Amino acid sequence: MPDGMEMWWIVVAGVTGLLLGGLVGWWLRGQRSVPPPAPKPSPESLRLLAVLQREGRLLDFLLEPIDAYSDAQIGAAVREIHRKCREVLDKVLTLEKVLPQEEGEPITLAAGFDPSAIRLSGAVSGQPPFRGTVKHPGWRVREVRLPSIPQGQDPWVVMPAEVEVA
Amino acid sequence: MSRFAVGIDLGTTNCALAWTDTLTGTDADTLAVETLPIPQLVELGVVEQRWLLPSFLYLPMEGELPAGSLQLPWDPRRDYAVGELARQLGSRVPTRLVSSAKSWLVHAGVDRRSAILPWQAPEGVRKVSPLQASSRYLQHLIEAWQYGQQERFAGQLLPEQEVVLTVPASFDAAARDLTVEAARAVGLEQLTLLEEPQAAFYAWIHTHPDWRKQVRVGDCILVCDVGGGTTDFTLIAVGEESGKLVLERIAVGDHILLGGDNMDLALAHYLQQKFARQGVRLDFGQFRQLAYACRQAKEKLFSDSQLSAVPVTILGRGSRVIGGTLNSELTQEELRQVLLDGFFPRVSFDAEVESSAAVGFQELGLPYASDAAITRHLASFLRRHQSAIAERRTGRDAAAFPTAVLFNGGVFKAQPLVDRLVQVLNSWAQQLGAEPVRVLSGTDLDLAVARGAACYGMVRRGRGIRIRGGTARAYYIGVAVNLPAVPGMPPPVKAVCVAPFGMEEGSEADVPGQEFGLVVGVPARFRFFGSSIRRRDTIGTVLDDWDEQELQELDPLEVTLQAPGLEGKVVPVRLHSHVTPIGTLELWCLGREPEQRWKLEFQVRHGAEP
Repeated sequence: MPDGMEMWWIVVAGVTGLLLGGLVGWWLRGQRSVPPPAPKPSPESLRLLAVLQREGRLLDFLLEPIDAYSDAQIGAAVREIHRKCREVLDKVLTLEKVLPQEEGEPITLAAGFDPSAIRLSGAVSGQPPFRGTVKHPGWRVREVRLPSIPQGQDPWVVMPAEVEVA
Repeated sequence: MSRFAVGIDLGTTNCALAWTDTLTGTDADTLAVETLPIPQLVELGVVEQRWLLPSFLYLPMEGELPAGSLQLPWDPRRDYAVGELARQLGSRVPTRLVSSAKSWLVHAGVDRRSAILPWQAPEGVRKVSPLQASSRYLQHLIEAWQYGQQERFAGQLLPEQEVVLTVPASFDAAARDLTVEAARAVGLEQLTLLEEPQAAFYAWIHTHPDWRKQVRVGDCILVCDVGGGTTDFTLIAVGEESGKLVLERIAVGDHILLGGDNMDLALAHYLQQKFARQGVRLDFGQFRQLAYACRQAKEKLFSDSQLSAVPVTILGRGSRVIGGTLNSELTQEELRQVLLDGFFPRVSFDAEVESSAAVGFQELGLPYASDAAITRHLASFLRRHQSAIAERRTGRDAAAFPTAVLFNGGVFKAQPLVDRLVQVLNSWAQQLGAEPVRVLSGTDLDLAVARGAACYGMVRRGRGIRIRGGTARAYYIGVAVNLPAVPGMPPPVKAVCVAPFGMEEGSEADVPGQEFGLVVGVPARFRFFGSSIRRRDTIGTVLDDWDEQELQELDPLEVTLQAPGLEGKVVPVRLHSHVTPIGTLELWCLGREPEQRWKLEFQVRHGAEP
């Protein structure tokens, strides 16, 4: 697969994770033995998905069975979907890397690093500082510019059906 | 004098507003001209600010859209949309979209005050008149001014300001009148009209404080303004009077309904045929996507001449986004063939505008230019005004050809189109033994007209140089010749000049000669003509005979003499013309008594035959 496709999957994975994280967390909370009063799931978390679908057809793409299609056919469509979804991300999010280093560069982690922002792998033992290599610099959202749910819009409809009137 | 000087570009496809605050400076060259960000719906329920307000109006069916999704921060009950969202919605439901209202405003074949738009919309669709549509765009600008940036305007409203409203140089007297009527309908009373190419030139002056070094006495500047829907040519001469530079607008072109939208559409049709050759027929929604993809492909190819082709992809319309995807590509070669050779072909200076070729990408109803070649229209324009150019050209190399060119309109963001037009102009210059033209640049191609209009607002207050101009045409009324009628032949008509070319704003004059006997209470109708070529006729000049190329017939004029007690009597009147300070032409019938004054109205309420 070409590099562009790899990038694309990273973006897809990142965004999908972002979206689903909230929902999964909510579901997990529901599984505890003494359940707290279940918070009503907020459709706010679906706004990003709705925008990515409307502008970039992301949901259609992820839900379409693609096994039967040739790589060329998928490639052509993905280029377009990638471009449009990327435009959405650029518009509604300010993303930055968690670590300034490039992938493959050496790094020293001092004591007190945030384990939710930096995940260790490999031969982890002893005390910081840790010397290692950046495998993925991570992503952090700096700013969200997602428009609020438009007036009159059913927030659970992330893609309206379309009927062409004859 | 109002605090702000405002310029409004009421365009065929986009509107813009610029302004300057007279309290912030005194010197014309350093005065800051600012553009108004226009809050507008960009998606259902989403308001964002844009520099341009697309001139589209969408009139939804009741219940078609979610309740409240058209509301604006200042109007929760709005039941129509203008601007970006209107354009988007209209691309799905074209029968409810009003577009090109401005072109309808100048279309003499229809009643422009009656609700005819969307054109040919089916029964039951809400409709508005071309005049009302124009008013709604202006209304939106008034609201954007009031609610978008309150703090900057110190609570002053737009109708309280002096507003310069731009019109194509080729607009005739009736279209100018209707534009003013549309503005007055929404309370814009302190109005002045300005020709768009002149506005572009004012903007160029404003962005070049050293402009006097860039032009010379004896220069003749061609302003070539290709907007979304219209193409407008103007010539401005640089002269000298008592040691000072003088600018004069010496010629304007005829109304050519041809612009950037036609180019994008031509490209989409070209690719549609390419798909058809692959055995793929595009449906309506796919064509819409194609048109959009074409525009992007065009911009990409034009900005990088090394690129030989870009893919054009139409994603599947249903939920099968990959399975339904269609692919093609647009090559550099094809782009050049369709746009450069289609719209800017290399033609010789004596090329005639072709009137036969039916162009396949026209919106129904409007009288689009039948020849898509802008270069042929330009050659014809320059040929017709050669004597006017020759009069102004001085110096050793005094060929009757422009010495410089200023481009305006979003179309010219594509450098290859600029280059081609310059090449063609220079090939003509060579043919005529003239120097190559200089290109004046450095204006914002989308916003120059609005900004230049704001500058003109300051020029009117004595800050900055003024382009002299006056009426862009000479106007004539048709008078039946007193001869025995020949059955089957219309009575011969003489044309009497009622306003000469270049009649200045704010001036008025009696038409010498003929007195007419008009019957009180009975509508009298006069044929009306305009000429952008006959520059030497003075008021009262009588033409017994003329060339159809020279004099264009316009909407007729109508007057009904109201004189209580004199019904049925014949009253002798003479004609009097007045070019108002706003820039509209008024013709009056004056009787022998001072109270006997009746205005001739442009007969824009057509019945069947004029």
